[in-house]
Amino acid sequence: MPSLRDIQRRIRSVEKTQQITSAMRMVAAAKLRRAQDAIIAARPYSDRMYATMQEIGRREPVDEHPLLQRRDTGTLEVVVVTSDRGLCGAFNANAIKHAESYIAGRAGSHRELVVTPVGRKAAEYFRKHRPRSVGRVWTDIGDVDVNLAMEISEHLQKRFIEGESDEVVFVANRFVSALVQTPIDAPLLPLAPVPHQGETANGDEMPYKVEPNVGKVLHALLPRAIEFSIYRVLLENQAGEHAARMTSMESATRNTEELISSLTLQFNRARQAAITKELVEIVTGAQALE
Amino acid sequence: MAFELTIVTPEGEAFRGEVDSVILPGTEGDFGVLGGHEPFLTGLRIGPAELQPAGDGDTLYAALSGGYAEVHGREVTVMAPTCEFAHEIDSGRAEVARERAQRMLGEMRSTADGEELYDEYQDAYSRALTRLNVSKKQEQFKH
Repeated sequence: MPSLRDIQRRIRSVEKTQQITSAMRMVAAAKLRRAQDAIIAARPYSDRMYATMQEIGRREPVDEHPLLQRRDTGTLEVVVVTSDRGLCGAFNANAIKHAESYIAGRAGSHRELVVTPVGRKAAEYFRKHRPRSVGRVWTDIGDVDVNLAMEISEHLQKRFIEGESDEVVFVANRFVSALVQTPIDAPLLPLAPVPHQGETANGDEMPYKVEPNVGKVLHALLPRAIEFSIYRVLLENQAGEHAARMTSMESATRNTEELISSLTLQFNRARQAAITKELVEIVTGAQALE
Repeated sequence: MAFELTIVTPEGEAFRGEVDSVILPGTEGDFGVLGGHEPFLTGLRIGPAELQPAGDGDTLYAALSGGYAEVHGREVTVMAPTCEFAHEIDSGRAEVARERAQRMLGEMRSTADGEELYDEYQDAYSRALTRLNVSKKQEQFKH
């Protein structure tokens, strides 16, 4: 049986762990709120952009752009997004597992595979398990901002346009709610063609002039669309990470509570046993004197 | 005749308000928009924007990094990946970025490897330069 002091020492150590996990939970909750705000702040941009693209697509069939070009998949590029840090439950493991099963499912559909990890956890995993497939790596993504999305999108677009990759797919966690994050795969390049509906029903003439021409504007617009999808994936990954950390730290805190109460019980029993033992000794001593 | 200008970035609305005029860096050259401009859509390049808020407000300068602008009736929308107003710009950092980009461009010319890197540094250079110019212009305006 462990001594009183041993139990006390353990209780103290578990209490310290509890302080850390509950602090981490609170930090994650605050960061989650910020990450969610960022997702909401991004909405007007995406709404406006899709409206404009629809408007252009309505007027002219949009298929003459290198980023829309469909070709046989020689090289498949899979961008796997995870967080930099752990201690967030199965969040990163789920994304990596999903990426592996996606890659396995696509076997035979391409000649070459390139994995582009974003986030330290993905980088560590793929460097170890698929060292020959790992292309450029992004780690220490920290607080997601547009510049990071721009950097990644420029890299992916350049490779696609120059024919170094023929299809680009994202695997990342989708932020469904604070409690649910589901890993998904989503095609990034080639872009899905903008639906061309021809004339509008009410015969509305072009509401505006496009300068210098639709093609040039598309050149400016499509890269923005890609950049934005990446930004969104990164934001959802960030929000998901904090949400997952919050939940897992919450359950860790609960576990420490249980542990503390069972240790306290053990401690009290041991204390009681010691008292009983002492009493018995005193009583027997006294009896022996009589 | 004032109109409503909205500058939207992925990080949220950078500006929304009534303005008398705005000058934007279009891909085909800078252009000014006044109230009652004909509806049109155009791409933007990296460069400064100049806003004249309705009424007696001070002229505002902002650094844009591409995107596009849509003029539609009384509404003008600018969609840009980033939009920094003069007061948000750290000119010291912009200067450092400009010097770095310039050095890289200088080195590129000698080693001549890769057009894409060159473009990247060129963009970085113009972004830094725009930021510097924007914060300088706003300074001048105040004095």
